[in-house]
Amino acid sequence: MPVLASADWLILLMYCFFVVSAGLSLAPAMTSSREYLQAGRKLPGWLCGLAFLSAGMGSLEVLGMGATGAEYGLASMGLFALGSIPAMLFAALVFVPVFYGAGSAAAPVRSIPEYLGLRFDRKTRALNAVLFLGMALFSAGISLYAMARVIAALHLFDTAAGRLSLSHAGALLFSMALPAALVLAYVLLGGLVATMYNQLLQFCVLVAGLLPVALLGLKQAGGWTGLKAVIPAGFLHGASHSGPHPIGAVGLVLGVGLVLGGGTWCTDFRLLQTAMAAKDAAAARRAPLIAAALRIFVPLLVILPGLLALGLPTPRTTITIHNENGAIYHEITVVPPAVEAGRGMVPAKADADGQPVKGGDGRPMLDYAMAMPNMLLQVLPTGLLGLGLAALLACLMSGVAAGLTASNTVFACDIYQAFLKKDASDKQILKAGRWAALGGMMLALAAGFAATRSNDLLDAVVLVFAVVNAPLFATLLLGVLCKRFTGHGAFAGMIAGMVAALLHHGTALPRGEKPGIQGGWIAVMHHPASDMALALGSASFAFVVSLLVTVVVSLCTKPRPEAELAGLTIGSAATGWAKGAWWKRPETIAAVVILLAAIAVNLMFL
Amino acid sequence: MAKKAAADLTTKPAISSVIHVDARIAVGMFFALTGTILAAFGLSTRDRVEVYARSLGIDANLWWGLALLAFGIVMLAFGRRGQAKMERPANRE
Repeated sequence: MPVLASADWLILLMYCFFVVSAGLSLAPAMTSSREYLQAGRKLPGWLCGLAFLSAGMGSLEVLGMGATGAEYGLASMGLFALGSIPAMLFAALVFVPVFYGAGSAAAPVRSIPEYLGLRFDRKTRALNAVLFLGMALFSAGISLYAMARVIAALHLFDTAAGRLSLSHAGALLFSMALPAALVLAYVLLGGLVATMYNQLLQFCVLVAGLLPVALLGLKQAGGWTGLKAVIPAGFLHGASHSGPHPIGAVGLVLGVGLVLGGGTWCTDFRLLQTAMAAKDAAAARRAPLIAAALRIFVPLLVILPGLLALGLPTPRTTITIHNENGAIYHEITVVPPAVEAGRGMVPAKADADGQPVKGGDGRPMLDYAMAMPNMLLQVLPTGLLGLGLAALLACLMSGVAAGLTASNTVFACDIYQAFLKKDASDKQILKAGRWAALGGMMLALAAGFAATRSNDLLDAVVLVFAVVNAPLFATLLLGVLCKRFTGHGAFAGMIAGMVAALLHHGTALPRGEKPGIQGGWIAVMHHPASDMALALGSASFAFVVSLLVTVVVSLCTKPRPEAELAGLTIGSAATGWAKGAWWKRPETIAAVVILLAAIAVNLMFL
Repeated sequence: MAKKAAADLTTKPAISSVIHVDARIAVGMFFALTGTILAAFGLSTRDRVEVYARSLGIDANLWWGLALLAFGIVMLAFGRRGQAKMERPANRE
């Protein structure tokens, strides 16, 4: 079993030291709630862009990307591009300018719920604030758990845990609490600035740690031609889209491109807070554009190792006998049965006894999430391995920190100041933000701990997305685009969307699954093709229902006077755009270039 | 409610005057240090075959360490330039 050498530990410790020292060095600058919660609204566009990208690459996303790479091949590049690039460009052109410019010059909007309060009404703001807090803290806890599970499966801290005489559950909790404590330290000290500074570092560490895995892995597989020879033919071509996932082109564009992409990159305050911390409107718009340009290539860094894991030989239990000076040595390498039943470096899912879990067709079910992490151990020598693990830690921390800073802003602005203590002074808001970070991390850890008891919670993340983000995206889309839609409409739309997501999820069940968190917990009425089709279906259904209900209720209720909505919709917002035809404006040209580049890159793999 | 919040903050300037350290300096320092450590470790272990069996005999630590060191130095240079620009009195307002 691989044990970390001191060189690995040194690099890991140095990474931890740097992230905490960013918090320490920025702590004296946290003099007001604007400094703490909004980074003073003075960061340059490139930093916001990299933080925007990094916030969207948490541990769930990165592990998921590696898993999808191993399960569906390079074609999943196209899926990730479809689910991010168009939405990011749309965010740059429409959403971010409106959110950034909303509110007065002295009191700009600080969060998405606050925008909803200005654009619609208080009840919409309160509903969204509560839902957002639940979603952000739950996903932060699940992210911590997902990474702790990977660390446990790699047996990285086994010797350390053994020295501290921790049980398996204790070791799992330890590997959740340690990164959580580091994140909490720098968020408490340096707020959003420290989080975004670290997101820059974390993005660089992610690339620096995973690029050697992709390069060395490719070398080990014998280069591109070698890779082609060892993995199934469909895995390098887009044809496998239609194979395992008959969602259809319309489903892909609506489900992945519109609902999943828009619900993430245009709606999620964890990401948008980075763009809203920019120094001016031009920098804020630039942030998603920079993120989109890099996002074309970044998934390849994660997908390629996942894919390469399939091409390497599966470890087997072996006995080698050799004779040395007349003495006969038997060397036995024991491989756990679940690993032996796997494919390449992708192990099978193991049950409590370590035996491989069989799927409906009698073949072992593979644990694709382990593909990318296993590759780290397979190809990185001591030294670089420390950097590779720092990369895993970096993506975990950037996602968790984004959730924590976003939720403390929402708590301080949209719950504490808006409802609990309306005449709160700036110092009190700042204090509320810090307490919210502490309480938020405790709740996230509790969610992570609950996940160690019940594996179902890991699958609940996609359901939470369908319940919270998909209806909110519909509401925001209508609210940003047109003045006619009303507060009653938005509130009714969000509630209807939530109910729709739950109803859809409760009545559909992918074939071969048991009713429960996988779906079908009300009554099984239809069978989507896969769990991915079910998740996309629930989110899309919630989005469409929310859209329709918002429109219908808005048309039946009285709109607010136009003067009150100045600067809150795309038509009236001070977007800071250069005037003139679209082909003369730099941001639209950049968006078109990025879109064409994304299409060109993905055509190479189709 | 929004108006009240606005009244609260009117006494404060929209853009605060606190100056942070340029973010690239920390990144540059991290990569310069990490690169140096990796390259030094790579140099000291370059003759040990068993360390580099996983990377097919390539001394990946040395080469990647040097690449990271170069990246760190470039980031430091950019960071110092950005810092000087930020601290110039004309930009302080």
